[in-house]
Amino acid sequence: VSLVRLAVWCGGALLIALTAVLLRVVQPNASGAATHPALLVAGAFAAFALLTCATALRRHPLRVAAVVLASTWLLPEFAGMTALPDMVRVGADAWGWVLPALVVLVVVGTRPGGRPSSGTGGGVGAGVATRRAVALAVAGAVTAWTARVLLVDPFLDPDCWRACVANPVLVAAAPGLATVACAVATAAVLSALADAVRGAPPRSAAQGGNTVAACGSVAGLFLLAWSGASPDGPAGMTLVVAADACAVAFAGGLIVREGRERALGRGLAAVAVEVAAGPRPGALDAALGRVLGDPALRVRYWAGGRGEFVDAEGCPVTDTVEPAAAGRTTITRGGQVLAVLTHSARTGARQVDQALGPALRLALENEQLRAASLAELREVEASRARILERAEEERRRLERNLHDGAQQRVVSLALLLRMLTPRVPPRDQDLIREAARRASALLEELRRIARGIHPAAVQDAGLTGALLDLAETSTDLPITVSGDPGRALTGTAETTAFTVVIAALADARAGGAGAVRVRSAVDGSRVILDVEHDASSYSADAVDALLPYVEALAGRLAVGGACGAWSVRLELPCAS
Amino acid sequence: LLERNARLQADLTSAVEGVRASRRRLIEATTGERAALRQRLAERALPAIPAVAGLLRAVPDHADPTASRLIAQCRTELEEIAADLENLSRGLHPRGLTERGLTALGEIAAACPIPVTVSVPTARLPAEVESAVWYVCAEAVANLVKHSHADSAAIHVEIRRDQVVGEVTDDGVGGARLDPDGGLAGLLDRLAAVGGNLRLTSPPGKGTTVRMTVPLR
Repeated sequence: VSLVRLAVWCGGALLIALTAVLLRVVQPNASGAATHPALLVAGAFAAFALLTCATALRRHPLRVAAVVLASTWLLPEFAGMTALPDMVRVGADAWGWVLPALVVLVVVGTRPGGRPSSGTGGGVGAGVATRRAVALAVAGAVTAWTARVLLVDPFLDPDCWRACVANPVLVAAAPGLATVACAVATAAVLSALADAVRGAPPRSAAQGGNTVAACGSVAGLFLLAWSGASPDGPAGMTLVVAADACAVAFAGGLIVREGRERALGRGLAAVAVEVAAGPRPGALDAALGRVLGDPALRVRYWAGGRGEFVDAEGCPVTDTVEPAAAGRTTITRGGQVLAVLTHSARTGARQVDQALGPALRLALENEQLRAASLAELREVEASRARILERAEEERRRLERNLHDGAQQRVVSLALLLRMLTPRVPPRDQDLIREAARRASALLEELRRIARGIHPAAVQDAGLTGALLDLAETSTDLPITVSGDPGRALTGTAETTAFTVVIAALADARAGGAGAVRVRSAVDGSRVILDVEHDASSYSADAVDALLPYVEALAGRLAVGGACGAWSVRLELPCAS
Repeated sequence: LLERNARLQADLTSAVEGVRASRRRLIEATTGERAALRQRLAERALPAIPAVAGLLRAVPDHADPTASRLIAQCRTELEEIAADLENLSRGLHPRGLTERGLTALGEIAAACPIPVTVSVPTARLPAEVESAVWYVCAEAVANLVKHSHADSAAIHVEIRRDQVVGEVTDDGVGGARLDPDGGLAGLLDRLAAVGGNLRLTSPPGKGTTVRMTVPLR
């Protein structure tokens, strides 16, 4: 709250209070009685409400009109003060024709089109319409007031009830002309009001109520001015109270709206700071939801590459319209859909529009780019995982085919050959024995191939079990196995790890290694497998060929060392 | 803020590219692995069969009917083993693909019980494109043999500007759909890895067309 505002408010308040006190205590009106206390209270209340509203509005271009309206709300009452000069009394009496125009100016100033910053309302056209409305209202007020002051002599008016004095500034007594001038002025002011209401059609019940209150206040003031009814009579009293009540409702509505906009602005500022501090993915949802007071608000970003909406993390969203969120606002840029906001029906489109200032729009565009990229990353990763899984399935199928087909037949062939041996003459037995030897060599080869395709042992005995088995059956190369990661790895990862060990052993054999050590351990969320050996030269061809599989499992594979001390290190993430 | 966003975005884009490249390498690795397996079978397992058969042939005929019967059984076993291993290696990796490129699609047509006309370009394409097209064609033909009741089918591959367009059509019953667990869906990732895509058109009663496009980069 700035000092100027405080000063304006205090000044206005003092003026109103003074007026009220003067009217009540010091000066009875022309008819001999003091102004009715109820009228005075209602008028003072309305004046205070208007004053508070006038000083509270932040961006009202016609704030001066609002301040004047509030300070002079009770001015017409001065017409009845016999202590004042006649000229002042006549002027105050005519002020009743100015008040409705001032109310209209306040309405014009609060229409969104009057502000260049707002996107809705229609740009230049709205500005022109606003200027026209202001001109009409001001011209109407000046015309009516001047006509009343210069052309009407209350002394000659048999219905006068307040300032029944001779008009000292009277130019010519021409009540008919004055009536015509007032009619024209009323039409101008009402046309300005219509302009203002048309320019900003109410978008919510609250706004509609506010517009109705303003219209009611204008209507009450005009009726009072036209009828010339005395507030001492029931008709005049009703009109005065109605105009006061409508003014209070109007001012109250504007104050509430201003408060909400301020809260929104504060929230936005906080969000802007948050966004600037570090764009946390998904923070925009919560921030916008908080600002708009709508926890159901969700932002769905358009992922063009996938042709679907995703959340901030790039996960596909199937329920674009949630049952609780009936509202839906689509954000576009250059005709391209960026995102869809789903929110509760309570949150108006104007609020969303207002909440998405330039800074947040930029943040939203960034989030959309990010979400779309994340969605693509997810998709490509999922595709890679599927390829890996299918390759694994394929190997299992091949292994089973080989095992159940050719391998079984070679077993039975070997059996047949063994049965055949004693049935042939001794000179032919060597041939059969040679055939049997070739058959068992083939069987051994097929077994080895099958194991290379898919190490079935891993699935049954686990990685450690399979490694121990491998060490036990290795006759040409001593293998030491230590550590036990348990079943920390997924099936595919276990198989891959075992395949890497087999590949490392094959490379080690090719390099003439004398001993191999295999160590495994769980380190945090990763399993680390070290294969160390003492080959003199080491090419690591077989291990390198497995790198794509390790990559696809988000693992790492490194070969290092020098002559006589080589190591292959494999890291794979644990099953989550 | 703008700078940091741009950096984050660049990081993300390069991560996507990295995973894409890794997916390509994975496919190359699986293809290479199958080719190596086929070669190993051809070089180290298959030669044993004619060797054993030769040894058995060298055994003279005997009066012992049991021995003759056993030898005959051994021969049958050997033939079965040879057929098994042949089947296995044919499924592993198309032999002609590495040597002759897409013209090896003729192998598929030859092994197919219904007449399949094949028209493919003789020009060689990048290996991963060739194998992607080959696998999709093979799977499509296998599917149509199983489900379409077609009388004839056609494989047509052509190079249009900078992309390969392949089509497998039949005159069968149509109404085919892309089964998410089926073999063709399984090849979508393989196609995606080389930037390609696939469309299945199969109006009931009007045959089926599987159409794939793969860009040539």
